[in-house]
Amino acid sequence: MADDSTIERPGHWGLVAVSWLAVGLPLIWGVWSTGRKAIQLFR
Amino acid sequence: MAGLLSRERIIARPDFNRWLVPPAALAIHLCIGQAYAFSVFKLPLTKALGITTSLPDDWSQTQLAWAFTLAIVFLGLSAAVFGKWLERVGPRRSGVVAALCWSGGFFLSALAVKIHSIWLLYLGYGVIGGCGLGLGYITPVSTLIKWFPDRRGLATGMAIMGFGGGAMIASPLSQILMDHFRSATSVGVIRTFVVLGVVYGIAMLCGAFGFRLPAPGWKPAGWTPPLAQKAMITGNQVHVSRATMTPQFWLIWAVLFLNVTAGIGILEQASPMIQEMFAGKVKAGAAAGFVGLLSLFNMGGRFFWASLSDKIGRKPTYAIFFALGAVLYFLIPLTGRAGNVPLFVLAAVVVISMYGGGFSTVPAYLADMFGTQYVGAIHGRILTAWSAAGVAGPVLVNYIREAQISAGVPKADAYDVTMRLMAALLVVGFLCNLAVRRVNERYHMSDAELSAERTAARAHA
Repeated sequence: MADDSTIERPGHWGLVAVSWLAVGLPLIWGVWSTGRKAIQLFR
Repeated sequence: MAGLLSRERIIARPDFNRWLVPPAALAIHLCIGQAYAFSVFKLPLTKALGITTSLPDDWSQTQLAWAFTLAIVFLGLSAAVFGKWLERVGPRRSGVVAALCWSGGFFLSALAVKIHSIWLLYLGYGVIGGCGLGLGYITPVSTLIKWFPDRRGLATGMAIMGFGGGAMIASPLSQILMDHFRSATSVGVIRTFVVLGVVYGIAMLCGAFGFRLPAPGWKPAGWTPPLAQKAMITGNQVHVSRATMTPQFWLIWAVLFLNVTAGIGILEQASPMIQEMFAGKVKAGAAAGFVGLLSLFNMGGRFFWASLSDKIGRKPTYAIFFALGAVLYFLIPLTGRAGNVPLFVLAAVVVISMYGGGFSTVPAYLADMFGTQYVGAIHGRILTAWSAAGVAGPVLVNYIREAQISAGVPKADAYDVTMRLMAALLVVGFLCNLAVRRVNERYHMSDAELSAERTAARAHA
């Protein structure tokens, strides 16, 4: 029988969503700022 | 506190969700990615004393460039030196030390600007901050690889994408902060450094405390390790001290070195290159847009290529980088002669995406070749290739260009030799990658050796 700690039973999906938002929002802001600058190339 | 940081304490419980690890890793990489945005401080720091104009005692751009160079050199050195320590003490302690070094580096840099000491700036941002960079770079990667044995490329791609994205956040953020803190007596850099030190310190500590390690023997539900005989993926472990004795280590070192050196060929000269190759057609504003576009593809390539490598394998992925890269470098001067801006931009963004992809695919390549037990330490040692390329690339590119212009070659054509040299470097890289084979079994650790190492680590904890 497998050790109990080796069986994957993932939970905490709410915390996963919050964590991804916490890093995703600044990243999206950075990409948006850079994207606005990049658009100048096509003007 | 010591117990709070110990490796034993962060062994995950069965209900732990492994998708919590990538945001923790991203929190750290988004912070240390600031290193690529250091140039935003260069101009204000040349007026730190004069405020509106540079005084004779103000720092020069060349002096300031050394702070960034030192940071990249110490990134590689610290990753190489402390990689083994990271595997022994675990990612939480290592992440906390990275946070203290990186934010501490900003506080020292603020003091350096305040008392106007360039040596303190080198120590703060370059040496101590550089050590934070190195530890902060390898810690999340080592942890993610252990959690995602089924999707190593995707996992490391997510984290290392953050390093590319970090500069995109830091650059506008720093500009906003400097504008806010600027006054008649200050260019606003001191307070900006302090704010960044606080923000990065908190974010990195959150990331470090978010790390967990899988329990021994853990594997994702429904996943079975691939058969070693069928692919270039080992189920065995190679100790870091033995890994550096294998030809595979040095071949992959060369692969990374050549890929980074070639990428720097575009990155280093992106803005002047597009303006000089298309004189009259592309102005400074559009050139800045080109640099921004390169940043986006540098970041996107880190995720795209590393994820693709999970499907097609690491060796074929690098084969694409080198073969396609060599062709594109050869074509770039031709697009200049033809005055074809869209084709030039297309070639450049593909090249730069592969430059980013080279960084994010290498940890998975190492895990495939040497196992996951010491991948953080082995990755740390491989990163010395980045430090070497960070010095060699710009020197090579600038020296050749200067020599060409001195010899009377028109500026628009001065990039031809550089681009062909980059293409040649990529051909050498292709051959190095082609020579990578499975690691000989004599380098594998025995079960007894592995068990002894784990017991020693537990005793240390």
